[in-house]
Amino acid sequence: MSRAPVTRPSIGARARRLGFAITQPVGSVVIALVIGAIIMIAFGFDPIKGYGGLFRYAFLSEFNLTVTILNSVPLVFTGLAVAFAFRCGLFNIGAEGQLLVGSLFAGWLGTLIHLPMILTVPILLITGSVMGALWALLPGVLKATTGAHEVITTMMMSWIGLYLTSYLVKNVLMDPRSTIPASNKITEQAQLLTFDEILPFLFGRPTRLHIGVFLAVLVAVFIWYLLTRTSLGFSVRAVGSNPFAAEAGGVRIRSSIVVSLLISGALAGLAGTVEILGLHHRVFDRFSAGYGFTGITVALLAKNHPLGVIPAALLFGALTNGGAGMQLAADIPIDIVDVLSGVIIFLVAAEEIVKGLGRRQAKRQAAARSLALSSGDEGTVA
Amino acid sequence: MQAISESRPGAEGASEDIVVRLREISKFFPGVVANDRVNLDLRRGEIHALLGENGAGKTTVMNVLYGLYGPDGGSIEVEGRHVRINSPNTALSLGIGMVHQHFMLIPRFTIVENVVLGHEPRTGFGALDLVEARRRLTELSREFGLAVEPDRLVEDASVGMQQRAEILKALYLGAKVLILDEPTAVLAPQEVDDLFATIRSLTEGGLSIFFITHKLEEVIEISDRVTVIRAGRVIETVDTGQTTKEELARRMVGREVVLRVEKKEHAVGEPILAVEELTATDHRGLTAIDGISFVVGAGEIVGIAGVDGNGQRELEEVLIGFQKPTGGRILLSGEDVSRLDVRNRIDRGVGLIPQDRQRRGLVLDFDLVENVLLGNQWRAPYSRPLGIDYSYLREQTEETVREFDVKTPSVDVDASTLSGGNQQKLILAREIRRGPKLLVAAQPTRGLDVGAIEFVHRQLLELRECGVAILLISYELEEILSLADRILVLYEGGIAHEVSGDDAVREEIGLAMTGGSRRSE
Amino acid sequence: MDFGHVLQVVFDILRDPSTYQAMLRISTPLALAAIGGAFCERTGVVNIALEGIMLVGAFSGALFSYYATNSWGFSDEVAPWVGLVGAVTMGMLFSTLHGVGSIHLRADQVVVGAALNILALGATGFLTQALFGVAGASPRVASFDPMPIPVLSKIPFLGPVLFDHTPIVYMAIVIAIGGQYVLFRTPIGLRMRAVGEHPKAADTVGVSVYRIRYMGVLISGALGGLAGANLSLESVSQFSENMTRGRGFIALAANIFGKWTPVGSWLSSLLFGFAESLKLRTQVIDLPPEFILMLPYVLTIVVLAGAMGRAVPPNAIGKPYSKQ
Repeated sequence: MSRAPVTRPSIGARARRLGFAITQPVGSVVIALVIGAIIMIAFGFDPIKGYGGLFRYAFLSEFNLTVTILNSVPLVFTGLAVAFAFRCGLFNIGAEGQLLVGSLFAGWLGTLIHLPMILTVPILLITGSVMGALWALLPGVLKATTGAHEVITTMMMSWIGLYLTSYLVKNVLMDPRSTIPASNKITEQAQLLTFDEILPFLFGRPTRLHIGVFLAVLVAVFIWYLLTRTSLGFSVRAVGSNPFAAEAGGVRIRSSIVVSLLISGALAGLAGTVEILGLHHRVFDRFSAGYGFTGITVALLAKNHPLGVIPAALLFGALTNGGAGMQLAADIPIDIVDVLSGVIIFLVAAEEIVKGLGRRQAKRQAAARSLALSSGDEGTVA
Repeated sequence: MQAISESRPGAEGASEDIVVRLREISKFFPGVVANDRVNLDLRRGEIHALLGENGAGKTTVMNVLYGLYGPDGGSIEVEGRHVRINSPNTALSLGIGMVHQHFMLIPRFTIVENVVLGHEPRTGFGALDLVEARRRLTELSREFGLAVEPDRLVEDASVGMQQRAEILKALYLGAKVLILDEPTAVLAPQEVDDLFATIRSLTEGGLSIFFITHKLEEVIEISDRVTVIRAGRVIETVDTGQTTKEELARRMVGREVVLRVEKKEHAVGEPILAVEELTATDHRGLTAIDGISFVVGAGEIVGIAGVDGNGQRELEEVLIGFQKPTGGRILLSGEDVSRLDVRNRIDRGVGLIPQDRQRRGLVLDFDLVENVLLGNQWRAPYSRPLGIDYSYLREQTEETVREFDVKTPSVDVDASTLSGGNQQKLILAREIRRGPKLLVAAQPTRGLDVGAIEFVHRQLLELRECGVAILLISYELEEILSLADRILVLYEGGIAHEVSGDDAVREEIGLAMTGGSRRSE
Repeated sequence: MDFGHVLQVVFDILRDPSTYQAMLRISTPLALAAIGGAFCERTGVVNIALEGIMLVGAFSGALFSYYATNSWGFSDEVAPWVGLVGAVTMGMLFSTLHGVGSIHLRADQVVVGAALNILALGATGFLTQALFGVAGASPRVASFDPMPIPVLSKIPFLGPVLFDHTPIVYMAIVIAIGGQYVLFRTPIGLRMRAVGEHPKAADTVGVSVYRIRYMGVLISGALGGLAGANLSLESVSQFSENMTRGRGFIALAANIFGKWTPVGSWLSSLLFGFAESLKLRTQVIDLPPEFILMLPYVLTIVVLAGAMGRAVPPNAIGKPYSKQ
């Protein structure tokens, strides 16, 4: 038998798929912004001033742009964390706790460790991800063995993590000279390099941008490869789409569930660790600005695509940064950002609104085809 | 509507007493014309068979009549009046009841709760009056000779009792027109006789019946008139007495039908699968497989006959490894595999065509390429150190689709877009190309049209010639009779009867399927 | 801390009637939300939005009570009742969003719930600042005082434990028993359970799946709102940002542990109420307060892990229903 040339998916089909994958989230964001404007007007705020302030504080000026990018770095990691679990059909809404626990232990070790940077940083990153993974282990095991819903267990672990880290910061790690609950500074070798340190010719002045930015992109690409190009990723996705068929195809469901949540927890732990090593250089009590929760929005907005997480994280990095701008420019409470998040998730989840329109069209086409065929005598029941 | 008509079944001329008339009913689903201007009428007191292949649109048009689907065109008359039926409630108030192929009963409710649901008798305080409900149910059950236990949980009731409960439910709701959707599919031959007796007594009681089926024998045996539906259209309506099986078959399929496949004689090789004293439980922990032993040799098709719910599902699950047996052993070429997981069994040459193809066989929102990968994802040459070799996989998928004639615009579409027959071909192709030693084929032709059935049967026989051991689990006795070298009848988790394919006697097997032969032993 | 001392502390706590009084009081918002969850999930709709609904209820309760005294001229006795009605109404309105998303738009119910939780957090925070002018918390508002039941509250031990509470505590008990009756002894309860088990079967006998599911969702909205009102209109007498602190999720676990029944939900909420009530005992228990605050969450995981497998969820839970 001669081998026929292997076809590629047609460019058109690919573009259409991609088109839908992009227009729906973008449309959701636009609608959410419009709803936000209506809310602002209803409460006597000026949306033009508000959004103007948002835009200015999010993007205009090097300082603001830096903050936006720095904000989005942990969101890439937490977005990936939520997205990865979601591809296995698991909703990890406790990334916040995994983040706190992971980074606390990494930060703790960071205050003690005295090794060359080339060893220190990887050791700490691994520590943070392992501890984050550990914090997701119990929900994973419980889901796999008893079926206890991970939404509840990860959320509970998140609260437990919050109190545990709070206790440790206040009672064990606290720098006696500090007036707020915070640890000592991590050692010099534990701090991530900044752009001006590695690229002095591009960044003349000191900047707060650190190599965690690259790490975030790198990890996103790695997760994309893992999910779409490897046996592990295939198994995880199969479990997420149809666990019964996956089981019949030799996928070990339980271990897939546990592994997915471990990877998810590790990514969340990484989010906090990079934040500590790159930015704060010490552990505060409750230093995370809800990155774990915003990660949910980021992941869903990205439709759980690892590469889509990057722009989604940038958007929310900008929103959280620009939210402060809205407050300053038009006195709009910064909580409006959470309102927008909620609306966006709702709209992305309710993709039926868009799909429903498509169905109606397909039905019209079927009707039209039937009329066209009414003279022939062969039906077209597929 | 209470009046019982005097008109006889098959009465002709102007004296026809039409209860229900459907005019030009059309129904479209995305990309599919399910019904194309269907005209149908039902005379009072008649049994009107709707005959057609799977997917021909019989059930769809009845779902329209029952108000489950809104029609996209056409009109309905009941008792001569134009009606708009937009919900089952409307249909019920017009005296139209329906017994679905997959029973619409709630397993964790009792029979009486199921029967009164939606039209519950109430006490003075507005509470549920179960005493009154039981009384009415018993009354109906006596009147029509449909024996049920009102307080038995549906999940604990036999299939036959569940069916009677379904019919009682329709009667309780005041049905004068009854739609029966493939009512014999779940019954053993002897139970079918009982059902037919019931149906006749119902028409004597003044009911008129639409009887959906794809089985010609049943049409001839029970119906007064028959309407053949093909590809969503009515081909013809005739008095049953004026037609023959052959003619109906031709109209139904649109071409001549070859009912039997050629089966070559050949010797059975060494035993591949040996099951020893196997026991297993169902999802509620009750014994479903009760200490059975059998052997399947290389190049042999062993057919497992029996009525649904006698342990077939559990047998499939235990053999492939979805659940562990509670006792006994499963030997594959002499090696005990009963404690191995699915992956290890696949590696040792077990293939599965699952009973529930959309649930177990495919990931519907994966494309064909990744569905072909399923079950191969850890195996060379698909899996390489740096990940899956997608270009090789793609090549293999294209070849698979060509070789097994899977009709699809490309291999990049989701498996959900394929028709049932093509989905089954894809599963079959995947399992066969893996080169199994043992293939467990559960209900491999369920819901397929004649062409696809022939294709599947040919493939199974080809495998047999290649020396693959095949365990064929099917509720279609015909299928087993035409393919199997040896037949085992499963009844209540035990093997009630064993016979070689050549010596098989329909009636004996039918009897064993209902436990008859066990009792006689 | 020696063993004898531990024993002494435990004994002191267990024999003190105020322990049980606090347990009943603190379990009430959990119980109400859990019963709401039971109704919602019995009809087949997963409701992780309970957290958000409670938050909306807590905020609305404070808001309406505030306006009742400050703008509408109600007395301090009547104002909390206005707040209660407001909380229930807003809870129902908010849960309507859950209905639209999960029922009509057939979206992933868990994701819709998560969206509503975030929306509730944002909206209540936004409104606190927009309407009260300060971030983080509302001013103090008129709230419910304990309403000791005459005679009964004088019974030794049992009197203070059972009969000296704010009205919502009594309401919760009535709702638990009444809810149990409705769900298991009335036609509407039969239909709700039917829709959650096998919506198609219910549909084919003319039971409107959508209507019943909306009913379930709205009941969870009303009870979740009431639960929230109990948080803000009880001893603290104000709304503060994210004051539910995961209680919606604990309530969900209580509902599961109570096998999706109203009385069971109420009973299992007592357990979580007890764990939470220990935070009032930080003076006597020699543990860091963080560990005591963790206790309800730890207990939730333990209980959930133990409950699973024994309790069978409604069969069609989480599955959107579509006719065709």
